[in-house]
Amino acid sequence: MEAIKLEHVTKTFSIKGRETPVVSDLSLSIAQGKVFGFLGPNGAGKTTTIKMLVGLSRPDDGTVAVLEKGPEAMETKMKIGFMPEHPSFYVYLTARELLLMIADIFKIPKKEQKERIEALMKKVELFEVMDDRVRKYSKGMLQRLGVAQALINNPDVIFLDEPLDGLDPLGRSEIKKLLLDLKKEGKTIFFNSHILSDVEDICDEVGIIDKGVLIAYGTVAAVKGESKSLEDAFVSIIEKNRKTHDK
Amino acid sequence: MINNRSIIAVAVNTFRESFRDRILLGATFISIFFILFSLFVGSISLDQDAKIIQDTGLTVIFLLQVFVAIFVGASLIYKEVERKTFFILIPKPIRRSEIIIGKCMGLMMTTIAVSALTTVFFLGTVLAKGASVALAASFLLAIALGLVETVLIVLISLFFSSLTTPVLASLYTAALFLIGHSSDVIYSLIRQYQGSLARYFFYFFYYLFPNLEKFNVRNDVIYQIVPSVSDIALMVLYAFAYGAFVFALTVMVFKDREY
Amino acid sequence: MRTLSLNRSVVASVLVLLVFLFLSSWAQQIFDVSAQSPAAAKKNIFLDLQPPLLSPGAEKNISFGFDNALADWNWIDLIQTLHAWRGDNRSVAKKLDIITALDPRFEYPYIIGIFIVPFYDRIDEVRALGLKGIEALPNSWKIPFYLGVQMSYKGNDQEEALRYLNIAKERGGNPGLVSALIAAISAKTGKYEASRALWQKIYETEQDQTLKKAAQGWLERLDVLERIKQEIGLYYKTVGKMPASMNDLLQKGYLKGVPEDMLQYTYAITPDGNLEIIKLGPQ
Repeated sequence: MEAIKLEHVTKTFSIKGRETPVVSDLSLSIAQGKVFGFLGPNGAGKTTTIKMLVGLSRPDDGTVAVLEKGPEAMETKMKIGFMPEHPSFYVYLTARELLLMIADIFKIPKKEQKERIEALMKKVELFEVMDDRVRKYSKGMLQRLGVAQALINNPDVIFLDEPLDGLDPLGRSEIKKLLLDLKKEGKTIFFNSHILSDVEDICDEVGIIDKGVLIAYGTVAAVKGESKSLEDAFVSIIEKNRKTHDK
Repeated sequence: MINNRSIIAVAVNTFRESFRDRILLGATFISIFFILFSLFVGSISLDQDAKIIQDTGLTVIFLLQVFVAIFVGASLIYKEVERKTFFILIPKPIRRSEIIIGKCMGLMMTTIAVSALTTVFFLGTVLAKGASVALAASFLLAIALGLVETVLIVLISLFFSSLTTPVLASLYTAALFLIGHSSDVIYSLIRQYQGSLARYFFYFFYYLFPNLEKFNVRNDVIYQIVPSVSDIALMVLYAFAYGAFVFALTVMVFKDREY
Repeated sequence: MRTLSLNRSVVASVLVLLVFLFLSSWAQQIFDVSAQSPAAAKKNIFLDLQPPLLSPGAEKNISFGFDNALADWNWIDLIQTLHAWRGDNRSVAKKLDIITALDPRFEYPYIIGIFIVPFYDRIDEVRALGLKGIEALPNSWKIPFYLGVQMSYKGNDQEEALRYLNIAKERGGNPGLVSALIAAISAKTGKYEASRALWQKIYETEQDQTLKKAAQGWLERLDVLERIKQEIGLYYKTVGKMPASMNDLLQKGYLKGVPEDMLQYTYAITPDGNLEIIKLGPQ
C-alpha cells in the first residue's frame, strides 16, 4: 500500500470575506520507505497540507489517506509521528515529563518508557537537559525536542514541518543524519522545508507547491532537470509558473 | 474505548503545569492572610470572633477554589490553541473527550492542592479556638461539597475556554456562577410574573442555568446543621447530571474544531 | 478555520444575549425593591421604602450564597458605628434588619438590638426584632427574656411582657432570674421599681461585658428619672399641681439642669407624676 495518498484535495479559507483556496486540487502518492520533500514559498499551502495529513484540519474536497486509512483514525495516529513548525510545549514541564506523558498516550509499557526516552534524548543531543524545564530551552533545543516527541512511538510514517529551521549547521547535520538513519529503517518521511540544499541531500522525491497548486513533482533528479542545483531549479520553476498565470 | 492512561497522563501534566504557575501560590497566601485577618477582626465584633473566623474561613477557601476554577480554567484550552501545544497533542492517539476529562481532572487536582494548605490552616485555627472535632468535621464536609461545586465550575470554564478568549471565558463563567447562586431570585421572578408568558421564559432559565446554591452548606454548618446522606447523594447526582451535560456540549464544540 | 469562527461567534453571541437578558431583568427587580417605587413596593414582600441602605430583601437577593459572611461584615460595620450613634434610629434598626435577614440564626444582633434600640423609644421595632428572633432561634431563651424586660419597662403592656418571659421560662432560661422578674412584674409595683429590680438582677448575673455595661446604663438612667420623679412630687406638694413640662421644673429651680444625654428628647409629665419621653428631638 501507499504510505501517503492525497487525491484532489482542496482547502478553502475565508480571508477578508472572500473564499480563497489555500490548497487546490492537490494529488500526491508517496510509497513506503521514501523521503519526500514538500517545497514552496511562504504561504504556498505547505503547512495547511501537512495539517490535513495529521488530522489537525479536514479537506473541503478530496481524500487524504495515510497507510490506507483516514488520518483521524486511532490506528493511524498510533503509527505516525508529527512535528509542527516552531513547536512549543507546556512551559513548566521538563522534557522528560512531556515525553512520559506522550509515552502514556501511546500506551508504551512503563518498563520500556525510561529507556526509550533516554535513548531518544541522546539521539537528539538533549540528554543532559532533559530534566530542565522547557521554558529554559533555546530555539534549537525546542526544535530537537520537537523531533524527539515525533519519534517516540517508533512511527512508520513521519511528518515534519520545517524540522531544520533554527538549527545551527551542526544541529542540521545531526538531524539530517537521524533522518537518513530512519530512512534506512524503512520509515516514510514527509517534510516541509525551504532549505533546499538539505532537501537535495536527503530526499528521494520532491513536490513544489505555489499558491496552493502543485507545479512540480518527481524525483530530485527529474525536478532538478538541467539546473545546477535544486535551488536554481526551484526559483526558475516558480517564476515560470507565475509568469504563465499572470498572462 | 476510553483510555485511562491517556486521561491520567493529561491530568497529571495539567496539574503540574497549573500548579507551578506562581499566581496560584500568591492566591493561597492571600487566603491564609485573610484567615489571619479574621482573627483580628474577631476582637472588634463584640466577641463574636468564633463565628466570624468560621464564616470567613469557609468563604475564603470557597472563593479560592472558585477563583482557580474560573481563571485557570478559562485560559486552559485557549492557551493550548494560542501556544500551539495542541498541535503536539491532537495528532496523538487520544480522543478529544479524553483530553477534556484529563484537563478537568488536572484542574481539580490543582484546586484541591491549592486549597488544601489553607484548609489545614483554617481547621487548625478553628480547633484552637475551641470548636469541637464534630464541628470541624462538618466544616470539612462543607469544603468538600464546595469542591463538588467546583467541578461543575471547571467544566463550565473549560466549555467557554474552548469557545473564546480567557477574558470573555472568565466573564461568562463568573456570570453563570453568580446566576447559579441566585436560584431563589429566579424563583421569585417566576412568582412575580405568575400568569404571563414571561414566566416560561424564567422557568427555562431556572432549569438551564446550574443551581449552584444546592451545594452551599456553609451557612448551615456554622449552626451545626449538617446535610443528611440523602441530601448529599442528591447533590452529587445533580452535579453528575449537569456536569455530563456541560461535558457533552464541550465535546460537541471541540470535536469539530480545526486548527 | 471557517467553521471554527462561525461556531464560536454564533454560540458566543447567543450566550451573551441570554446572560445579559437575564441579568437585566434581575437588575430591574433589585431596582424595584430598593428604589422609591410605591407601585413596585406593593408587589414585593421584602420592601422597605427608606433609603439609603439596600433593603433586607435586596441585600439577600444579591448575597449569592455568602449570607453568613455578609451578615458578619454588616455586623462589624454596625459595631463600629454604634458608639457614635446618637439616636438616629432608622439606620441601626435597618442594619439589624439586614443582618437578621441574611443570617436569621445569628443570635447576638437580636440581643444587642433589644438592649439598645428601645432607649430611643422605638418600641415597635424592638418588638418586631424580638419576635423575629424568637421564631428564628427556638432554642434561645435570652431573646424572649430581654424582650420581656424591655416590654415591661418601655412598652406599657405588662401582659405582653409576661408572655415573653414565660416563653423564656419554657425554653429553660435561668430559672431564678426569670421567676424573680415574673414575680416583680406581676406584683405591679411602680414601674421604676420593677424595672430597677430587673436591671439590677441582670447586671449581677450577666457574664457578657457589653450587656452588663448596658444594664448599668439603664440603672443610671433610672437613677436620674427617679430623682426627677421625686422633684415632680415635691413640685406638686409645693405648687399644688403637676408641672406642665420639664421647663417648669427647671425654671422654678427644682432641677438644676438636665443630664446631657437626656437633652435629646422631649418629655411630658403624666398625670400620675411620671416622666415620659414623647418624642425625639429637643423641645
